[in-house]
Amino acid sequence: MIKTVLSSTLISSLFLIIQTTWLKNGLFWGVVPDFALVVILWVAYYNKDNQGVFTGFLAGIVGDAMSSSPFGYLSFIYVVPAYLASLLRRAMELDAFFMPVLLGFAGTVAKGLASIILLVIFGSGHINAYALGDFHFWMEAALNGAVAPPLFWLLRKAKNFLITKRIGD
Amino acid sequence: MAASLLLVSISTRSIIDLPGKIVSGAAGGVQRIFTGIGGFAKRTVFSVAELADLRNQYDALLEKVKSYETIERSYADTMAENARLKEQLGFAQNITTIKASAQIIAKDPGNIYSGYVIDKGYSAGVAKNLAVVAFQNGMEGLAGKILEVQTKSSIVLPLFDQRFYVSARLSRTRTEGLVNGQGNADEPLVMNYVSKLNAAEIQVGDVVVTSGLDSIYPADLVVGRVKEIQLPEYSSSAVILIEPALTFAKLEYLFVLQKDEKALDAGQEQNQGAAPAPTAGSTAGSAAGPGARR
Repeated sequence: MIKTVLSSTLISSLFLIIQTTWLKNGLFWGVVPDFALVVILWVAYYNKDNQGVFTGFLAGIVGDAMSSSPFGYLSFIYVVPAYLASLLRRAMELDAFFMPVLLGFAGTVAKGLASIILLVIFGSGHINAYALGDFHFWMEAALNGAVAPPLFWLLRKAKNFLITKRIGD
Repeated sequence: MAASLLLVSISTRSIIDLPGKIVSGAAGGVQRIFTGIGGFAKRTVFSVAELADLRNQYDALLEKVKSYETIERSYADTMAENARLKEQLGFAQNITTIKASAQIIAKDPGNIYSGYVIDKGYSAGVAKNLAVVAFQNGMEGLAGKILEVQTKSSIVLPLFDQRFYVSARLSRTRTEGLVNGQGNADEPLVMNYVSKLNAAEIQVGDVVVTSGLDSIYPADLVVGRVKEIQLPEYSSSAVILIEPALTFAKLEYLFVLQKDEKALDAGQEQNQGAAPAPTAGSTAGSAAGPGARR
């Protein structure tokens, strides 16, 4: 489990660094797809024992260190979609295209709602949150949905490092 | 989830930020490497095409240099006269020093926050809450302030962030107000607490500058231009929308400023003194050396 969490945190962090450097000017209308979130969703879906939640927490900590956000902010907004994705494991089967798109899109919506929860708790003086009526938010959700199928395909190639196998699996 | 909430709770109250500083320091180093790799690849690809352009630009610039040589002579005379006059007035409050020039190496990982990571930190003299400016189209504008500092990198809170506030005034009418960002570089800044009585004098296009009334920002840094004047019925204050002076999507380099305390102290002493006889090279004159600006 520790190996899985650490390797998935490492991959998420790598994507976070790519988001902050090579993609710093955004892909469309200045919006950057959240590759790290997609990785966390995949790990959360395929692993038991809340490993995805731990990955979301640790990757969020790394993201917070690179961000002007309050420390713990990104870790919270990654933990919420990771937890929801881990619940989906029992409810649906992932195919090659449609479900990854849906997961990427819904994960972003969950992330947006989590940011609003933080805004309500801590106030606008400390917290910035997604505006659900803002075009940029839905653009990010669409981009995350679009990058999910190819990224999931790539992650499946490295599943030995990212999924904890158990007897009976 | 509880751990995340606890971290946000602690960090928003600035009790302790040690784990953040440790990870942030390491992340800053990796970001520098990634920016370096990206920059190298980009330069290699575009360098051949750039050579031809450079030849043409070189010829054009030679012509320009000739005309600038003439301008430079008159500029030097004006600067010398300006320094002499400032000495006589004991006017050193606005003198600031460029503490560091820095390159933007990264931005925030998500789309909610908008911080910039620059490649200078403690080791270059950068400190928390120093003002940050940029030059664009030959004009200087306020870009933000230093939010967090590591050894070799810092995070800048940009002007348009919702958590950014600066005391400002209109350059023409001298009306004061408080400027605040709206969280998006595409949206105008908002200037509040401007009396409706004073708002009548304000015109669209007026320049807004920092007032220097807070301890962070030196006076007379350009913030932007008035875009719209709103007079809400429910309030006694007008709301001024401001177009930022800088185009943030095109920013590459930033300059960290610091108010020159020595010049400030000397200016105050001179103002308090009974006979402020100026001497050559004192106060403003000496502070306005290389790296100093007004």
